[in-house]
Amino acid sequence: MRVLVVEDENDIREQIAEELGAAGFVVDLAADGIQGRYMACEYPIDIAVIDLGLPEVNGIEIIEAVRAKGKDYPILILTARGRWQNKVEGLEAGADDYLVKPYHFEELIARLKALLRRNNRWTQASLVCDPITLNTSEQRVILHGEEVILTAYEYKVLEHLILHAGEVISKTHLTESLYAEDSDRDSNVIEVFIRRLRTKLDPDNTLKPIETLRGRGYRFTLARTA
Amino acid sequence: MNSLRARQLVSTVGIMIVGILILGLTLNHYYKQSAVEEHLTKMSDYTDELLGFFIFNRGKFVLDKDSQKSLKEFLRANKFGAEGSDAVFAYLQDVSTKELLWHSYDPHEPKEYLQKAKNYFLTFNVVSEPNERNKNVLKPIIPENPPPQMPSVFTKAHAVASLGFNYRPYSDYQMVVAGNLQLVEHANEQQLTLLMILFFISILLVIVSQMALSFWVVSPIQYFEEEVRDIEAGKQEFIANPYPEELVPVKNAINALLHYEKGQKQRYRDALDDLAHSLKTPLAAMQGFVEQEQRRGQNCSPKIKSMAGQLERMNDIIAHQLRRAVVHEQYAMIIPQALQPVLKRLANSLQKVYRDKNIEFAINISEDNKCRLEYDDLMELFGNLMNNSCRFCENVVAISASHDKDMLVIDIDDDGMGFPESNPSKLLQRGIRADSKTEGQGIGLAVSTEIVTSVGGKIELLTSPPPYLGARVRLCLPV
Repeated sequence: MRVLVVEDENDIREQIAEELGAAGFVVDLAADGIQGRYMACEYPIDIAVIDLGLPEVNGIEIIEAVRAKGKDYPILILTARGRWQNKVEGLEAGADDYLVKPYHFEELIARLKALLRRNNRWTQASLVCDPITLNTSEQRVILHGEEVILTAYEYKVLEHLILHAGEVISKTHLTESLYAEDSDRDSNVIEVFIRRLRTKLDPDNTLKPIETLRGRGYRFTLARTA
Repeated sequence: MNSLRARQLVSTVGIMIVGILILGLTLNHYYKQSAVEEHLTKMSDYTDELLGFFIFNRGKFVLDKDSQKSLKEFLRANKFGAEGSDAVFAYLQDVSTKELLWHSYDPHEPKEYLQKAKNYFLTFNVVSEPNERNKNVLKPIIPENPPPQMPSVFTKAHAVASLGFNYRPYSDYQMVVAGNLQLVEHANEQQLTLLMILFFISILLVIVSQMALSFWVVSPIQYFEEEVRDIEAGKQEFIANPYPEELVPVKNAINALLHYEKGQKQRYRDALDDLAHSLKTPLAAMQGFVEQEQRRGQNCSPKIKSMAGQLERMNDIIAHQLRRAVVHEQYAMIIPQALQPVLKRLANSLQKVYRDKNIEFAINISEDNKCRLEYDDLMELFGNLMNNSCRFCENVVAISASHDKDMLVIDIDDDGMGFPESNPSKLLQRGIRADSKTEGQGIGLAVSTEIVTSVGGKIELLTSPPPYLGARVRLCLPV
């Protein structure tokens, strides 16, 4: 999952980047409002964490610009201004949730995951598409009641596909969700991950959970159960 | 005397009474003086003219035939000897012997009262030296043997003019002319009566003009007063109507004061908000470091643990003290705010935050339901309470209101698990939380309590009646 963090405080920005990276997110960072607005509007991100009190362009303006562009990914407001007036203004501008500083990283990550799930119409931390269950909080995958051991990247690809179950996900989108903006990308790696996932999740080739649509991308085919 | 109108009435009536009296009496005095002076001058002129008719011959004053005729004509023409209020008469007197040598009364047509006093005529206590003129207001000399029925003319003041002269070696003489001043006094009395009438008319006019003043002059002050009362009652924010230029400086001063007080609170709030922001951001960074350190090190240093505790404490103190400061700075004049828009705004936002729960908000609040709280405080109060309801409800949050005397009673119900049965009021204290699973500093209810009590309201934690059976927060807020 690709998350944009717009935060002007260096320490906080780096801490969030570190913690979200450790939690499996691909993190894009913006240190001011102008850069944040550009990245929020132009980058293929899945979720954003936006501080309200930013220099030059404030968080509300960024959120309004994102929504005006027709982008509907979830936005979490991170603010030190804890008054309800501020929270409501942020939510009315188009944000989906808020978190008041100081906060705990667990809470920040839990909120982001909940927003991502919610945005893809999942209501629980466990994404169930029988016989596969993916627990987002524990980052575990269960197949027929037994845990399947996945690498970090395999997990990320699967999580992304299950979150968007039924939707076509392009290879580019998957790559961008997996890798940071400035990293050296190789789209062939995605094919490798998909092949490995098919082997691990469908050794008998009976389930066929991941469908390849030539020239368009991939689709998770199992129906949502919960 | 606290009433402006009473002050104005008393001062105007007082000034009018004193002014009219002084002016009237002075005018009256000068009018009388002038009338008397006119009489005296006339009498003095008569002395010269009368003396012209007489010829002094060997110690006696004689009148030849022509002179007698002319004198008679003169006396008749100038109403000498006439009876009544404008009677004029003259006599020629030897000053040394007081003997009357001539008098203007016609002996052939004696008047009744003169008949009774035929041995004497009206004389005055006046002595003029030769070539000396005297003009005085005098009463006639009362005779030594007055008649039983004294004629009233003896008590009346007369304008008396005399001219002294002498013929050596005979004697000193004087011509005395006197005129009754009864007419002047009568005119004076009439004038005084007129003055009194004018006086009462003036008082009446003053009262009428006062009533007109009330409408014309005092009414802007009344409107002004009403506007100030409306501001006190929270019906309006500033004095808005146009006023006469005398009241404009007062209006501007009051408006400036109100602006200042309002701005003062806003500035105070903004300053606190900035302070909160500037303190909480580094606090968040420090807390982040501590959390990362705690996660990295298996054997976390006790100092790091202690620091984490201290940071939590600092955060709690900052949050609580900032809220307290804002809540306790209540503005003296608060415009009652309509509840419905605030609740709808919050409900829309919370629906977004708790989208998973698909919460149904039943807001049974009419557009007329208002309470006397600042908009920010209303947002804060209902934001905290509705957020709590959303956290704990299954999927319904209901808000209703009713009036109780001068308070608005608002019930916030949910269909959640309700408050703990034992001592739920404990939750209203700072730092007590009903659960620990969701975010919050545990001060939401305490802050709400502080906001409510600061405006003289009340907050109660109850159980929702059927069909909800969850928690009910009952607020009593001033309207």
